[in-house]
Amino acid sequence: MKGITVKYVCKRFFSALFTLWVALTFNFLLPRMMGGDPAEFLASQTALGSAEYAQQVREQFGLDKSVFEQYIRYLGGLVRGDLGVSYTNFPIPVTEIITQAIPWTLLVVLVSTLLSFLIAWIIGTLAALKKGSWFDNLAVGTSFYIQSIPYFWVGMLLVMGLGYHLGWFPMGHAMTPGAELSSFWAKAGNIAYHACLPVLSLVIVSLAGRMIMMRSNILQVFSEDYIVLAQAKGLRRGKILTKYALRNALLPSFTGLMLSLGQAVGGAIATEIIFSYPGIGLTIMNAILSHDYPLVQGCFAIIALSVVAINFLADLIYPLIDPRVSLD
Amino acid sequence: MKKETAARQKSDGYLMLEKYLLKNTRAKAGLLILLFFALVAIFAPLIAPYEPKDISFMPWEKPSLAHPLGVNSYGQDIFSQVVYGTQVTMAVGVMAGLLTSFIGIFVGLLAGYKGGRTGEVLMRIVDVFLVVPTLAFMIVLAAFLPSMGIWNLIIIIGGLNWLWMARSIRSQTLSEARREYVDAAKVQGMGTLEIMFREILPNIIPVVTANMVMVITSAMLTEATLSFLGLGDPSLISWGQMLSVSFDNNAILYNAWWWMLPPGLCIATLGFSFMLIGNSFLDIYANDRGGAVKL
Amino acid sequence: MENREIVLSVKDLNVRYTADRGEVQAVTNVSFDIHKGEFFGLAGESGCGKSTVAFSIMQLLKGAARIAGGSIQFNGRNVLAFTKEELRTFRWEKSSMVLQSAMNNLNPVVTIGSQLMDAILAHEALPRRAAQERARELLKLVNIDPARIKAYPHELSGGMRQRVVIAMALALRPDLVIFDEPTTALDVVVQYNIIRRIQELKRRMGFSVLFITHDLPLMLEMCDRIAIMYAGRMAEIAPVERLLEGGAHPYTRGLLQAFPSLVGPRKELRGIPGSVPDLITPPAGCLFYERCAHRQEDCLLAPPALEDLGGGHSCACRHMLSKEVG
Repeated sequence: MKGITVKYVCKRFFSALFTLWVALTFNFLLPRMMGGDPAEFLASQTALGSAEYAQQVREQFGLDKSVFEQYIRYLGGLVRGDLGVSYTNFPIPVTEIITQAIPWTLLVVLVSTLLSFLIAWIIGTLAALKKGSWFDNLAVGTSFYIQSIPYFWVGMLLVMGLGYHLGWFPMGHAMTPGAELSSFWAKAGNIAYHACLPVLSLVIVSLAGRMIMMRSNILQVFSEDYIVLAQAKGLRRGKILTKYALRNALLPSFTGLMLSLGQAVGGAIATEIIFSYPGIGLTIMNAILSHDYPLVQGCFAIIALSVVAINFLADLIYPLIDPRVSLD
Repeated sequence: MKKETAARQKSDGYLMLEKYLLKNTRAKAGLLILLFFALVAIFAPLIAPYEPKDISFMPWEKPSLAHPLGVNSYGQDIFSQVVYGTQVTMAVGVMAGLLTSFIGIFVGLLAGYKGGRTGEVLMRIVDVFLVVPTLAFMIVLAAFLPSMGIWNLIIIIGGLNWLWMARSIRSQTLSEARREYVDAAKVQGMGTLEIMFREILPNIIPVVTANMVMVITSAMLTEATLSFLGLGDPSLISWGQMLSVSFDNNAILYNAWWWMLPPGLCIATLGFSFMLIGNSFLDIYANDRGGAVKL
Repeated sequence: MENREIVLSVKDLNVRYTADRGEVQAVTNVSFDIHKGEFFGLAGESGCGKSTVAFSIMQLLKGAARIAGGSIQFNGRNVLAFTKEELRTFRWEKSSMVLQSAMNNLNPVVTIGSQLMDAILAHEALPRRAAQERARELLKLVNIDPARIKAYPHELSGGMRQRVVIAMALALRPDLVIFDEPTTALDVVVQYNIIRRIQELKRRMGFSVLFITHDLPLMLEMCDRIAIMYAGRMAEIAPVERLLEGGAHPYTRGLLQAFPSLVGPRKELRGIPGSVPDLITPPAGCLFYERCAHRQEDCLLAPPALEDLGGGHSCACRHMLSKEVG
């Protein structure tokens, strides 16, 4: 196996940086293209509601400078890790609010995405192995249906059924108030217990599409010559399945895994709302409702950053598991 | 050979219809469901027993003969809302899906057929934007827009969803562009656009349709999600909007399953029908070309 | 030739597979023997069932295809009656195979060394070191630098990949190696080198070969005996010398005449007007009737049976051609 070259890493890195820059520039331009003056809005929200106050806000947030100057300040702030100050929670920096929210989102998104891929791989493989059986037909049929269910709706049903009706799981929040004071294991258990339903709701829907994909990948690989030759070689079934079929079928879905980790951060927003889960999604929605633009922009910047970072990571890992990827 | 071509041209459209729809149980089932919802949307005023926004009934009333799906917290008939919601949900899904398809087909064909610098640059742009989380971007966009009418909704959903489709059309175009008929068209002196749309496009119609159908499903789901997040048009009644209102009004705590179940089931069933159609198209097309076609 | 030991004996093999329109009679009543150390060719147009015969021997028929009758004896043992484990050891230890497409025979994400070792270790209880040493030896056998044992398939040229597969096929010193169009998709020089290599290895190691191709001139250069199939049936089996004189079946004659000169450039089998009959509803008489230049009315009665002419030569035709005709 060849090592990753410095040139390759640099190339990927700059490509990631470019993508991030595009996303962040959009992030900067959007509110300014849409019209409407956040300062006026904020001033109108307060009791003071005066023109002077609006002017004061403008100066405070640098909104009185030219757009270009604002852009430079914005990029400079990002480099220093400064996302500005939240309008609504005035003295608190945006970064602080986001730092509190992001671990919760990561927890739910990571666990649900990994779990969903794992189960999809297993069911997809079994369905492909038993192609045409009742199991295959059931799995594919159900998946077709589930695939087009809005995932937040599944969340609502779970809260109603397993949460409210049966009372098996908590209906929301990331942990019981006061639980942070208890021992590490009790706290971890409490968090896991609260994460069950959000994770489940995300897994159920995303499972379907992935399972269909995995199944067709495996069927595709089964028709390849090297599988026939592996059979002709008299290899044992298990070896053919793992070393020859699965390895080739899993590779394409690895890219899918990484890409969907990124999209899932955005996708979990509605889920967080249903479960009042204090992650980045809930934060961004509250920020939108209260017109807290710096916070909205900050959240989006963080989401974009994490997605780009995950993709960069995938670019680095992929050549290690797929020897065919060229390193230039 | 000549006779074959003549016969093909004579009833090309019909042959395609027969092959992809009439002889295919899955596609037929999908089409039937789709037709059902389309009829409901068209004849909504005739089917719905009440005005969807009429608030003259007993709030939280359970399903009964008078109200087959019960009444919501405002005293509105849920069945009538579901019927009318079909109009908005389908309209947004189809219109946004068409918008997406136009962009996706154009970019995909151009990048696949023209190739070279243009194709390279186009695909570079697509790759950059693929990384940006679409839903989060839509939410931010919707949040900054001063108002969210049905057209804004369609443009936002349709305008940001075309990346995967462009990719898929491009890779299909790349393999089509190597076929003989394209060379023949070139020799005849056809222009680039003419070859793209009159020669290649008709040959990849199944892939285009399959993509389109997926895109419409995804547009429908996005509309539901945006509406649920309160970023839709609150004056409209769509299935997503209904779910949003039910959640905001604590339908969960009132155990009002009759309010939450129907809109979700409708979305799922309509999406299912699109999936059936798109997938069977792809299967047949893949069989023709002797291998799997990836979307 | 007759008194040599028989390695493979196929008798009245019938293969059917289910298609949308009905049952396809892919292989009908095919019989032939391969002797120890013999280089046996199986020729015919694409779709004539020659690959299906090869896959039947290895018991590798896919999904819709199944053996509907006949027997396959290998060293006197009935291949069709093998248990799963017997079949697993039969494959590769007794009979190995080099598949048609040169491009996709190897698992793209595993090194060639590991794939060679898989073949060895599936049949012999060896320490990994010893297996690796064997793999190196095998690479040397086909003129590949043993240092490339860590290479992935995509790092090798098409010709090298096919040589790796050949090395793999010889790993367990099988009695029979089946080559199913081993040189398609390779350029002529590489083809030539690979064929030379196969001949040389066969001389050295003494295995029998079942060589399948549509390239008849190539076959005439290499084989001891050649079987010619048409529409799922055996048309003629003859020693090369007999074919060089023209063959007895009108189809064989047509094939041979499609090539103006054996010294000239090779071409695909072409040049007999007409097309192969539908194998779902085959005609009652001789399947070659429509295209035959020597057809007569009694040909329509029933498909002719394979007739032994002695000297390892047999032919299925009611109106066999003698040497001077044509």
